[in-house]
Amino acid sequence: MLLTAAPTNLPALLIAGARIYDPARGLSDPIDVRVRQGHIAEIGADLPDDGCEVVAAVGQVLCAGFVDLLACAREPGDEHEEDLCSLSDAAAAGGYVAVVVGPDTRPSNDDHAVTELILRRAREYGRCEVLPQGALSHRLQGQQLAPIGEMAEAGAVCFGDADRPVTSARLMRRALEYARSFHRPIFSHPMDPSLGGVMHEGAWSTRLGLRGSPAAAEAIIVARDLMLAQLARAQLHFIRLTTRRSVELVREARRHGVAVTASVTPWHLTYTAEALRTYDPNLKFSQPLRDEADRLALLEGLRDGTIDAVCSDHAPENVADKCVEFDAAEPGAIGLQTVWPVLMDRVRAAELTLEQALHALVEAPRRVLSLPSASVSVGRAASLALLDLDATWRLDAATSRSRSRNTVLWGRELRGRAVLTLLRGRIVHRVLAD
Amino acid sequence: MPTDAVTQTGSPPPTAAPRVALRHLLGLEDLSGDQITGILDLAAQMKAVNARRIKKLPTLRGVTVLTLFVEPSTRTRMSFELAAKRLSADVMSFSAATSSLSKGETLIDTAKNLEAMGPDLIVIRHGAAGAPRLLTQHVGCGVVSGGDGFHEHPTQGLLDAFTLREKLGSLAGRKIAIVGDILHSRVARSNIWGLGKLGADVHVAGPATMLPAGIEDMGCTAHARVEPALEGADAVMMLRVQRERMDGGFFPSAHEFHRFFGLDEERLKLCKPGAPVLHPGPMNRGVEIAPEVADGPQSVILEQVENGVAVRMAVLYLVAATHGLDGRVD
Repeated sequence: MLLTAAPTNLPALLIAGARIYDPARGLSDPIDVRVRQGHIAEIGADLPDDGCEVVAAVGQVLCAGFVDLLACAREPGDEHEEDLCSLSDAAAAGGYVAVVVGPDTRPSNDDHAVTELILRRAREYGRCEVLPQGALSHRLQGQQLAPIGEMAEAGAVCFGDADRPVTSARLMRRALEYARSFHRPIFSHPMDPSLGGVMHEGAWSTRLGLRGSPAAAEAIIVARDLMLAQLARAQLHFIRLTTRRSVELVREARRHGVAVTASVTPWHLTYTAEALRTYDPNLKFSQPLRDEADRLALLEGLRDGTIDAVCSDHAPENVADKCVEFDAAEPGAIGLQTVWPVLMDRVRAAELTLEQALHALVEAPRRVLSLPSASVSVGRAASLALLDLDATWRLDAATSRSRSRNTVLWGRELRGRAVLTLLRGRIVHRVLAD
Repeated sequence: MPTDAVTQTGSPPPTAAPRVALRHLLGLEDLSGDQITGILDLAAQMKAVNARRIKKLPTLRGVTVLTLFVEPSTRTRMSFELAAKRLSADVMSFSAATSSLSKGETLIDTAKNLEAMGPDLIVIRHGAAGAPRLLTQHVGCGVVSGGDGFHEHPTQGLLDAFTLREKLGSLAGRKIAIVGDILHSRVARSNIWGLGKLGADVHVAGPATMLPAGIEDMGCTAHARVEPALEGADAVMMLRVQRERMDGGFFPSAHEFHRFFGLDEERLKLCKPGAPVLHPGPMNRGVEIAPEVADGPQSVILEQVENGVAVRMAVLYLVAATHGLDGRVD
């Protein structure tokens, strides 16, 4: 039986026997880490407990907490699905210490007042650092540039129109150029809506009788945005790449010096369009599940660094929006608590190394956002995740911290779990074995 | 076999056809060739019943069949209702022009409300692919698909196979051409599965805009022009092309569609002599099919309609029997 403990304030902990993941040095041998007064106080072999609570961590990995590049908080506007508190709890329970929240709220985050509201609410709760993504355009309508400067000043870390396509190349160009003045990346959701459908176009959409969206619908916009980023000399991030062709385009653009980064979701590394044969709306995504060749290309891209990060794409939806015909279902799934076990499945399947999985969750997203590197060293603030690689558990009403339960993994056995998350020394998540 | 159905009470179907277990009928993809043959054999006996003076069996007395049509349809619905009545089932009907896509009551809520009235079988027609399967996850009774989106229309596939079997005998190795808007056709998909499982050599043809990606993976040969599909075909099935598809840019005009992809007397000569011509209806005369062909000697279009009732009787009977509802006398 596992329980999640209530947080206590700035405890002194001795995390004993975990391997440390540091982006510069990789995985260490087992070692002890002392956390005191919110900071890493000491790292060494066989440290005495010195009055600290000892956390036995043999076989586990300690790293800087994960940073997520895209989650939907649903606050303001749809707090029955999620709010910034439940989102923070779900993030902490997944090993995250910081989460980028999308602008597709009600009202949308296209104004500094909304940015400030989100930051204030998140800080009051204080269980996870919340990093607002500002809208690229007014009301996410793809017409008029949003006040990017003021939102950046208020604390927005990046800009994009969530999963609304920016159909105008001119607007995308201006956004890339303008955001450069404020040193912020543009997050592009590459999709040409005129080629849209409810799943990947191919043999499976034909068989299931669902409208397909071809891989080209994504790759066309990837190619466009790469050319615009080069033209604008701006920083571009593709959120949730899904196709082989997109990976090739990004790889080539990198060679030409375009400042582009990219992320992928655990879903697209795991499932293909075939998984929709049961019409499960929890596997409907705004960037659809593709073919096996695409899945393998995404993994290859992640291994060779063309794709930098893995993002949760956490999208809480009311049951009522999912318990309908596939065509009518809202896309998206919750994911913050299952990213780690799902990626560990890829590690167990020898499709990724443990270091590659950790890099994609720990260091790469920090680089996308130009945050300080995720090193684990004495003197650094203790914003850490302690990860069990094999612990089995289920995401259910007892363990889930989200307000929504739209995931195909609900109730299924998962392997791998964040067992302890610290935010500047505070315990924000802990699994206790009894 | 009793000669007069009225004398028959609570007994199994007309004769001992191989009994096919059919919990639901959602698509022909899920059935084996043997199961399909079993259904068609039973349908043949049902067709004999339909030729009697008193066209009624008492087999499903006390069984209630609900037809839940969340997409406009008259002929499929009437065919199902007639089939149910010929088996002495009670029929209730629910129709809605719209689905939960338009933000009314959800499909599941509608179905649960209607289920509370105690139907034994639900026949559902729905504009969204997968809706019948969704229904099976939320109601306890047997579900028969009357067509879902572009996915499948299994009873249409069965009645087409039945009609072809009547005309051609065994379908093994027979070249069957399915022509027209394959992309938006659930009839085409059910026929590709069904005829394929019966051993036919299925060819589909239409403008490349209407040939869906990977269609050949379902076990057919695809052609972007109609002539190679018709060449030497044992039968040809024309599909309805909806005029609204012009707005989607799938073809430029009805005139042009007819000219290049329609079935006229000249093109029909490419098929084997006397090859039957099928159409699931409703027809667009002068678009996918020329009036002379639709009304010509090779047309079996009205026989398809007649066979539809027999096939649906067989399906309703088998699903009811699988749920232990046949021969209910209480």
